[in-house]
Amino acid sequence: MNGWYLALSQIKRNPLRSWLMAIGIVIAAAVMTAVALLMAGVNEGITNTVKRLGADIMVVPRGEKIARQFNEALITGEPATFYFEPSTTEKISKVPGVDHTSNQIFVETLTNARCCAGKFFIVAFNPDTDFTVKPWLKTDVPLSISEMENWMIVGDRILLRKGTAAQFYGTSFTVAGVLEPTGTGMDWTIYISEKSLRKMVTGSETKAEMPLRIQEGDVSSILVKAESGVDLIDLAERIEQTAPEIQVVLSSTVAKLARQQLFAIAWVLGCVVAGLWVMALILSGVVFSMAVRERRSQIGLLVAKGANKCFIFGMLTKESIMIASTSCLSGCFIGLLIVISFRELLSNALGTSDVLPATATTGLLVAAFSVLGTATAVITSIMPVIPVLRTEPYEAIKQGRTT
Amino acid sequence: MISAIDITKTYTGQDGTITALGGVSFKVRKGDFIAVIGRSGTGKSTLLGVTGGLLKPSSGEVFLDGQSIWNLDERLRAQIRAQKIGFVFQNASVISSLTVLENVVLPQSFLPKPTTADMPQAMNLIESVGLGNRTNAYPDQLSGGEKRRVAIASALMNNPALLLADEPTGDLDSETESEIMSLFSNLWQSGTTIIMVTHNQQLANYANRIFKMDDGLIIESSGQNPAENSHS
Repeated sequence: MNGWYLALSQIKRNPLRSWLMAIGIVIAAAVMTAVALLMAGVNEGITNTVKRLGADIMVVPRGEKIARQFNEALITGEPATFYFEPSTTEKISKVPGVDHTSNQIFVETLTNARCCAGKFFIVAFNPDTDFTVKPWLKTDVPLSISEMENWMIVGDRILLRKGTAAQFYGTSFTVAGVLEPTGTGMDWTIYISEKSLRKMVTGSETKAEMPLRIQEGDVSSILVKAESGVDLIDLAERIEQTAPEIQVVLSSTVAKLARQQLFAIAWVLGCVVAGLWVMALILSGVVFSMAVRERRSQIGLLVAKGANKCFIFGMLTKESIMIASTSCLSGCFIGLLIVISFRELLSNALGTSDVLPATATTGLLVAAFSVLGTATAVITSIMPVIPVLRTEPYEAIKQGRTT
Repeated sequence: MISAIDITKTYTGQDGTITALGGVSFKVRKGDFIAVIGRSGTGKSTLLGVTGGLLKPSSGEVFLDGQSIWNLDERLRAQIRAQKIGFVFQNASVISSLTVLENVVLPQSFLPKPTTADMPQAMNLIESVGLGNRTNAYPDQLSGGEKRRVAIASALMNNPALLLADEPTGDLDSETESEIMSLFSNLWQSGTTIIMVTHNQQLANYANRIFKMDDGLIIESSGQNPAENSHS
C-alpha cells in the first residue's frame, strides 16, 4: 500500500471535497485554454491574412490623415476617399525591384439616399492586373465576372450573397462572388471593376442624389508586388523617392495594426482569465488545506504506524497532483472542445478566417496549460499544508476528531 | 526494554510556561503490562507520546532496547515505530478512507523492507478481534468498539514488542470495554509489553504494574515482575 493508493482512497472516499477542489480548476482551465487558443488562432489568422494579402507594399497619397484613413480602411473597412494623379502608377512600376502593380480606387457610398443601398466602402480594381482580391474568392463560388454586367464581389461580413443585387449611385450591381473571411477590412468591403466604376460615375450625374466625382485615371492606392528577394524597406524608400506626393505602407504594418487591436482584447481577456485562475487556485488551496487540517489526527495516526514526514508530504502531494492534473486536463480538453464545437460561430463573431491554431500549436498550448496548471494548483494546495506537517504527531492525534 | 531518564516536557503559551512532565524517570521490563493512571491533565498522555517517539521531550532521554530514540533522525525513529511499537488511541483509531482489511495491513507498508501484504496474518488478526465478517467494511460502517478492535489488530500487524494504548476504552460501553481489555490481557499473556494510559482505576487492575501520575510526575509506582503476574 503506497502513497498513491492512500491518496486515491482519500479522493474516492471524499467525493464532495474532491469535486469542490476540482470544479474551480476545471472551469478556469477550460476558459484559459479556450481564450489562449482563440488568441493564438486569431494571431495565426492575421499572419496568414498578411501572407495572402498579396501586396508587399501599398502606395497612397502622402499625408498623416490619409495614412490613418488607409489603415482604418484596411483593418475595419471604414470608407476612405483620397486620390492621386494617374502618372504615379507608371513611375512606380518602373522602380527597380517592382514586379507588378495593381491600382485600386476607393469610393464611399451615400447614407440615407434612395440611390444607394447604404453606407459601404467600395473598391474599384482592374481584374486583369489584380493579385490581391481574387485569391480570397471562395472556391465554391465560380467567378463569372466576364459574363456579367456590373458585377460586384463582396466581403464575408457584407450581408449580400451571390446573385443578389444592390444599387449604388443609381447603378445596380449583382453579387458575383463572396470573399473568404480575412479578419481585415476586406470583410466589410465591396469590390467592383474599374469599368463599372466609370459607368457608376457617369450614371450618378443623372441617377444619384449627389453625383460621384472621380476623375478619369484617378487612383487611391497602388498595390505593389516586389520581385523575389528584394529588400522591402529599400524598395519602399526607392518608391517614395519617385514622387514627393506619395507614401508607402508595408504589409507588415497592416499585421502590426491588426495585432494591436487583438492585443487590446487579449489584454482584457488575459486579466479576466488570470483573475479566474487565481480564484480557482485559492478555492482549491483552501478546500485542500481545510481537508488536511481536518485529517490531522489521521496523519498523526499514519506517523504512529511508522510513516515518516517525507511519506506524508509525498502522499498529500500525490493526492493534490491527482486532483489537479485530472481537473486541469479535463478543463483544457473542455476548452479545446468548446473552440472546436463553436469554431465557425467564433470565427464569424471575431471576423477572422479561423480561431483554431495549427494542430501543433494547439497540442503545445493544451499540454503547456495542463502542466503549468497542475504545477500551480499543486503548489498552492501544498503550501498551506506544510504547517500541519510541522505539528507534533501526538498533538495532531489529540487535536483530531474521534475516528 | 524501555528506560526513560529525567524526561521533561514544557509548553510555552500565552498563559506562560506549562510543565506537562517535570522530570520523569522509569523502567519498563519486557513483558510488563503497565497502567498509567491519574486525573486529567497530569501528563499521562504526554508520557505515552514521548515514550512512543511521537512527542519530542524538552529534555531527557528515552531508550528502547538500549537505543536512544530521540537522538535518532526522524526517518529512523519512524522505522522503530513501524517495527517495534503498536499504538491504540481513543481519538484516532483507524484511517477512514481504508477498509478494515486495508487498515490492518497498512503498517506493513512502513517497514524498512516492505514486502507483499501478509494477508493470512491480517485475516487472522481480524478474526482474533471478532471482525471476520467485516473485512471490507469502511470505518463509518463500524461501531466505536469495532473501530477500536480494528485499531488493535492494525497495531499488532508488524508483531510489535511494545503496545502503547491511550485510553483504549475511553468512550466505549462497559461490555465493549471488557471485550477490549480481554484482548489486551491475551496479548500480555502472549508476551507483548503493554503501556496503557487510563483514568479508570478498575482497568488498571488488568496490569501488573501501575504508575500513578500527578502534576507531571510519577508519584507512585506499584506492582510485580511480569513473571509473577496473576494473569499468566
